[in-house]
Amino acid sequence: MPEPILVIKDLHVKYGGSHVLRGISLALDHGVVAIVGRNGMGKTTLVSAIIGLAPVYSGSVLFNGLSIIGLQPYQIASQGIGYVPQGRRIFTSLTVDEHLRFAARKVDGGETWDAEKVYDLFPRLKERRRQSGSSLSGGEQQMLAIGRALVINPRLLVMDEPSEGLAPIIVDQLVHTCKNLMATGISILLVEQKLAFAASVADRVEVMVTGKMVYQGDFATLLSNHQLTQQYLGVGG
Amino acid sequence: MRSVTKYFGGVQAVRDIDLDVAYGERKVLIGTNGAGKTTLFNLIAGDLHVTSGKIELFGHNVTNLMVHRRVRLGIRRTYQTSALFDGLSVRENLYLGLLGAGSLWDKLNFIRRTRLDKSRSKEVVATAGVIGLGERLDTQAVELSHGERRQLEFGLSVITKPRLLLFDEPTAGLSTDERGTMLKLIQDLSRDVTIVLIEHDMDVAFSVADTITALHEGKIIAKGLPEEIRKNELVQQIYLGGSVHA
Repeated sequence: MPEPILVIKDLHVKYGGSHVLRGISLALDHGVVAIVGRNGMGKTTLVSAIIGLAPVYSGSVLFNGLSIIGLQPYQIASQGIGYVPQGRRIFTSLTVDEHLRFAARKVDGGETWDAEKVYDLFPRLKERRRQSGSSLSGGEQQMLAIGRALVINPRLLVMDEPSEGLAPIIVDQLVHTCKNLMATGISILLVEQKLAFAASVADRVEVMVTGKMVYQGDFATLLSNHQLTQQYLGVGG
Repeated sequence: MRSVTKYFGGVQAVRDIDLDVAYGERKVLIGTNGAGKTTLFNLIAGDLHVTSGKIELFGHNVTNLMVHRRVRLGIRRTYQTSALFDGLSVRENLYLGLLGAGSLWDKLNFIRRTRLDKSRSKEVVATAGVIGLGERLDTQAVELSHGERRQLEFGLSVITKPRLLLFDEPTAGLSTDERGTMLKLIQDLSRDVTIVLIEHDMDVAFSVADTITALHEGKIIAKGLPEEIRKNELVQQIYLGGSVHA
C-alpha cells in the first residue's frame, strides 16, 4: 500500500477567539477528494492551513510523510503542492506569460507542465499571453490561476472553488483536466460548492460543518441520501 | 446600446453591439469567458467609456456621462469580486450606500441631514431584514460568510431604489442553499426595477430571465427567449457544452 500523500490529524486552527477548525483528520491517497459544505464552515481555512497561510493551533499535516507545519508557503509550494486560491489572486501587473514562466518549477522525469502545455489546455490564455492579469476577464483569470498551479508540477493540487466564474463548457473541460491529472499521478484536494462538478471529478467526499468533518464516504451515497444533503448542505429535502 | 464597440489597445473587447432592454425586463447575459460581458456592464455603468457607438439610459444619451451622473439616473451595479468596507458593520455599509446616493444639498444642509438620518436608519434596518441580515446589523463585514457578503452587496445595490440593476455573477461562489436565497431575492424585486444579469449558473439564468443574450468574442451570437437559447446549437456548442453545470 502506498503511503497517503497527505495526512492531516486532529488539526485545530484558531483566529483570535474564533475556533475555526476543530479537530480535522483526513488522509488523501492518490486520487481526488472533494470537501463540500456551506460557506463559513472552515473549508478555505483548511486549505489555508495546508499551504501555510493559516496559523495552526495544534495537530499535524504531513505531506509525503513529512510535516509541513511551520513552513513558509513558498517552501510548501516547492515541495510540490500547487494552490488555486478562491478569488484567483492574479498579479495584475504581470502578463499571462510572465505568470506561467515565473511560477514554473522543473521536476525530473515524466511528462511535465510548462506554459505551452497550459496554453494547450486553455487556448484562450494563449490568445491573451501578452496581456496583463488586470485586463483578463474573471473566467480567464481563473484559468490562469489553475495554469499557474500546474506549472509548478505539483504532486498535490489544492483547488479552492476552481469552477467559480467559468462558463459551463469550460467547467466540462476542467472535469476532463482533473481526470487527466489524476491519470498522471497528481492527487487533488478539491473544495467546491458546485456538487455536480465535484461529483464529476471526485469519488470520495468529505462534508465539513462548523470546523468538523461530519461525513466521509463516497459521493453517490451522499447524494442519494436526501436527509444528509438537506441537513449538511441545504439541498433537496 | 447602438453599435457599441470597445477597444483595449489593439484588442477589440466589444464589437458593434446593439442591445435593447425594456422597462421591467429581466435580461440575462451569458457567454464564454472573455466574451465581453463584464466590459459591457462597465460600459453601461460608466466605469468604461465606449470607443464608438451610443448608449441611452431611460431616454437620455449617457454615452459620455461619468459614473456618478449615471447613478443619479438610477443605475446600480454589483461586481464579481466583493466591494464592501470590511472594517464596517452591516449597518454602516448599508448606511454609507444610502449616504453616497444622496445629493450634495442633503449632505450640507444640517437640519435636513438630521431628519434624513432618522429615515435612513429605518431604511437600513428594513433592508437588512429583507436581505436576511436583520440579526447581523452590527457584525463587521469581514466576519460575514461569503453568502452573507453577497447578500449585503445585494442590499447595497437595492437600498437606494434603483431603476436599473446590473448584477455581475451574483451567485458565484455561493453554496446551493445560498444560491437559492440570492435567486429569491432577485426574483422578489419589483418589476419597477429593470435587471440585467451576468450568470454562468444556468439554473439561475433560466429561472430569472425573460430574455437571454449570448455573447462570444465581443459579439452577440444569439438572443431570444430562454427556451430558444437553450436549444440554440451554436450556444450549446461554444458555451453550454455537456451537462456538468446543470
